[in-house]
Amino acid sequence: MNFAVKNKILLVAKKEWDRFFGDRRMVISALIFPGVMIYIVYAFFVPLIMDMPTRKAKDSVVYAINPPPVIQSILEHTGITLTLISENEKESVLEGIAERSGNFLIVFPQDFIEKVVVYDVRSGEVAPEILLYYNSLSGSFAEHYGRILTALAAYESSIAKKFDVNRTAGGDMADTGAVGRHLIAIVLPVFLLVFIFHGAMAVTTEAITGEKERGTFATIFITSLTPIELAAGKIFGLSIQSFLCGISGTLGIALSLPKLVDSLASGFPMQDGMSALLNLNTISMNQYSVVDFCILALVLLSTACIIVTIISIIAIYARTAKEAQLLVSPMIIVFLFISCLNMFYNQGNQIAIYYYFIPIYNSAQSMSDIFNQSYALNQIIATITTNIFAGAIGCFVLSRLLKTEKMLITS
Amino acid sequence: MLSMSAILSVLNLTKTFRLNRMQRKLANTADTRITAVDNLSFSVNEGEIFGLLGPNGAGKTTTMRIISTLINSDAGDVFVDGSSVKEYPLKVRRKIGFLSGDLKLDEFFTPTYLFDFFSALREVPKAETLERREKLFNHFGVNEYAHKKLAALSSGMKQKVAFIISIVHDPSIIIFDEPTNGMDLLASRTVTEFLLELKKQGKTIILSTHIFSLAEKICDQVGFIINGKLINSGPLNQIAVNNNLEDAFFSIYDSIRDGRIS
Repeated sequence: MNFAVKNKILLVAKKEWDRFFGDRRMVISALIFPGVMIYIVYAFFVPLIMDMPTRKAKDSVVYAINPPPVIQSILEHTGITLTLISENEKESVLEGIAERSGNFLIVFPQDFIEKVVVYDVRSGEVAPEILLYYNSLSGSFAEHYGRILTALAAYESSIAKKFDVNRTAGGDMADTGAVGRHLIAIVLPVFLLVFIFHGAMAVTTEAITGEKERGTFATIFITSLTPIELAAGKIFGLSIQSFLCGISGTLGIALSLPKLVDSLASGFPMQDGMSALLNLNTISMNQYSVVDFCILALVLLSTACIIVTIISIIAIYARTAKEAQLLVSPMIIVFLFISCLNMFYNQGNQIAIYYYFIPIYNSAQSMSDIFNQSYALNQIIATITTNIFAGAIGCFVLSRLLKTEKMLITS
Repeated sequence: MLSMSAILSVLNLTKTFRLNRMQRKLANTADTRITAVDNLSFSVNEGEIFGLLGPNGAGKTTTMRIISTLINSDAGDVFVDGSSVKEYPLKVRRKIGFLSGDLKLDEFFTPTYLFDFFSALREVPKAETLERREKLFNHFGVNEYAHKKLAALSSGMKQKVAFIISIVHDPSIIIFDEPTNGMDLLASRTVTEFLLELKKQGKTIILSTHIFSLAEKICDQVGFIINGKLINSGPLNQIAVNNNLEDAFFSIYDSIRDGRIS
């Protein structure tokens, strides 16, 4: 161990890092576990769950009586192959459906197409009717039911079609990459704030209240270390740890995004239209540059600093680390509220510069701007300097609190 | 009794604490402040062990904390080797070591790590730290578990480490607040041996305790503190009645309780 570090702030920060990184359980539970768990859940479990109805649906049989070839063809495009049966077999198939076999039966009237062609909506006559039998209690119900209705609706609209749309040109003018970035900008800032908060809560309550509980503050204060050096060292050291905790969780999300997107795009064929519209394949972290990530890291670090400072000030009043966690926990609601406020109201919109002087809110907004690639340097500078300035004020308040006699009394 | 050759002098020390509503209710009083230390004066000569004896809540810990510069007094002052704790707290801190019986070092670290950390905070040069660590660890038998985490050590071993850490900077005056608090027999013995060893080295020690046998074994001077006031103080052989400190204390304590002494 090299204690050549002369600066006492670094010395205190280094002790916090040694405490954190040397504790295998702490590193696993606060740093590695969230990221790995999120990666596993998003990359494997979510696609597995999404794929479940599809796999179950593969075992289902869609029976049909008198199906017109055109509808057969439309259904085949959505992955459904009809099994033709006669009227005589109808009863046994219906019994199977009633017993949750997961099968379907579509009964078309004889000469369905001809009847549809001659049918006049204004005549007041009863329209030709298709009968669809299914059991909504069977596991594969939603999958095939959606596809069949989509296919029939598509056919229904096609027979009344009098013009073409976008046959030679036209189409969606939106930047497809922007759609993906927009989705990332909605989701990731919330997760980042939550992960940083979670990490900060774990390490800060232990470092502040734990120290108070053990009575070590008294031993530290009779050295030449001043309260402001101690406060600054703690905040600096703990901010780095919280920042890494935030990065860990977010890495889990970022790495699992491609797999999650794949499953979103292929897991629900009935949503093909939606996935095409959103262009889900554009949800990738590859579209961000190293500069974007560096700016994001600076915003996150300044955010971690202010979160750690707030938690430290609360934790100092607690008698035990457990009590500190209880006192700090409700704050997560405030953080979620602020990030959700940003998620719902300001996505992609340019807001006035003074919003970037509101701690925490500015972090959520800046993160969103970075992920949307719509950030301006003055907004980022405003965010970072505001957070650091607020952190410095918090550090001063913390040092004043560390001076109080209450710090030496735990009971 | 104040001495001209004293290395540490406590002069008319007074400290009060504010009581909140809950504390007033618990103490069954309407007073908004409580006097923890009331016009306390004593002095300690170089190389002596002074024992401050009294029941829980008598004001021992508050006195020790004021001497250690951890809290400020409302009135009076303490002079450590001529320096006022109020005016020159940093100067005083360099001369003193402090250990509270309540201290529980972070069990995650090893004795070596903690020694180096506190040496750095005390601004002990690196070479001196290494030399002093080797000397102290050898002397007190800490070497064999120097690189083990505190969590793996017995309470006696942990206490030994805490003692060593309080003297990393080789202070001339050491303040021990209830050093045997909550300890078992073996750990208490470790403390007694440690204090005697420091005395042998010529250190001045101020010790607060409510264990009379410990004071009888090691103290040169003792003082009884009851309700924040120093009732009696002087050389051990003069204070102890028939060589029994406990009897001497309780004869005074009972007199106060019965209203014979105020």
